[in-house]
Amino acid sequence: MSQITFTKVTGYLTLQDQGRIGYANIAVPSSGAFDKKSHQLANRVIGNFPNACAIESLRSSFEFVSDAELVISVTGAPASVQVDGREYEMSRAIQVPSGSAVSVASGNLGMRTYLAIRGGIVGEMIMGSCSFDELSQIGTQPIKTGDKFAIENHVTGPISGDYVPGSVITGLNTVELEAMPAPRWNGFSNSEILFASEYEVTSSVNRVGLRLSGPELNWNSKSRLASEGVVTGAIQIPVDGMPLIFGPDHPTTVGYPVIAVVSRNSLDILAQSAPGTTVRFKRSR
Amino acid sequence: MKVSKYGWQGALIECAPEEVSALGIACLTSGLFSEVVPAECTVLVCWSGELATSKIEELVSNVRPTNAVTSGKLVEIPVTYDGQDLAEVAKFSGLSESEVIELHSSTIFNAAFAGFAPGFMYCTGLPEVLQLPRRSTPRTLVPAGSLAIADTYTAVYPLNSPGGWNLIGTTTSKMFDANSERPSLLLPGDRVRFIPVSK
Repeated sequence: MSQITFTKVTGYLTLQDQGRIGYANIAVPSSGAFDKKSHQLANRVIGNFPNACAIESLRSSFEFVSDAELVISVTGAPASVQVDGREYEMSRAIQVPSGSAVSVASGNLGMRTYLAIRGGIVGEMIMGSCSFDELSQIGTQPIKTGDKFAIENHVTGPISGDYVPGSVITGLNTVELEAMPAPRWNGFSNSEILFASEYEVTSSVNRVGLRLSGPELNWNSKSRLASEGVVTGAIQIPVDGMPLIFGPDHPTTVGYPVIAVVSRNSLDILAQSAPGTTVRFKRSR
Repeated sequence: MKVSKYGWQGALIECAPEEVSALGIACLTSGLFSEVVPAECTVLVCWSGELATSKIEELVSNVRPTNAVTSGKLVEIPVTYDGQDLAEVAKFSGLSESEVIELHSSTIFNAAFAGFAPGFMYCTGLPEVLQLPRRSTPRTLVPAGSLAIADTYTAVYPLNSPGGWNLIGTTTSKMFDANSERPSLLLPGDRVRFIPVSK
């Protein structure tokens, strides 16, 4: 098996697949790529299985070298991709000669860039997934300079060679998220405000969730809500009345009411929304 | 029981607390769902692809909230009752420390649902006299393996974490091991008994 070695890592770099499914009953989040569409796309471009383990870079810069020829693809938030100093396009299969250095440097648009390697990166498989879960700290630990990973040979077919346009438009000042009222919708005295207002992504953002600021949402009842299971994309309203949207590493049960749930497509957009982005919710039934 | 849509591929089923285990097991064994998340008085179900709400309603209508508490797998956990709050618990309950130990260790609990941390299982069945509130100031570090009680629950902290429950003992049993075939020692629906052992 060929191997890559990280020669420089600045920032937060994790391995992600499509997640750790079926363990929410023992309080283990699903985790997995936050922008699932970009992750799948990176794999598809180079003939990988959609669930193959790939790199999720949170506005990081990194460089690795390989001891064999590779085929890679980069998707998601715009980044500069270079092989031995030569710039390449994103969302395309890139041939990397043996011994070459691949470097990726994020710009300031979007949040998460994905890099897949044909055949798949071998991460530490924990409970059926390589994904690093920020909440329970399980999975392949975040990548540091000097880390080495083997490259597998699991492919679905040949490299298409087709250019696939970026799936998610990143770097927007305003995003519209599709949301569906959740079972506790009626427990708020002013739930309609959610769809009539603008919120802003605060600096409190990670893979567990994104805190927004804007008009306060008020829970009617003074009594404590019993803990309930929660899905990725659920918009929870804690005591301060400000929405918190859960990402892939969210706790499996929570004690504050959930007003609505954003769609899978909207989660991909959210994964790319930087602090300061204006958020509007569009009601779906 | 009431079934409500929860996003595009989820539903929240509301039920009585004593129905949670039976409902959770029925949902799990139906094979319809990718996730089944029991909680205090709800079960969240998630699926991939398409699933009609009527299918879930049909499943739910066949659940008999009977005696999951007496039919679940019995897991015995050896415990040293040496918790820092044992004296306080005894004082609150008006029992002696040995009576607290006797009462807690003779109770068969029901692993009702998980939350807070991987493998942290809220176990119901705590005798009323032992139902203390959480501590007013949570501890910043509760060691893994601490047996605790709070409100109507007993639980073992699976990992080192902050925690506000009243500590009554410690176990050397590994509650959560991500590398194991069965990562959580307890699953929702299991019955649990704590066996006193000396240090």
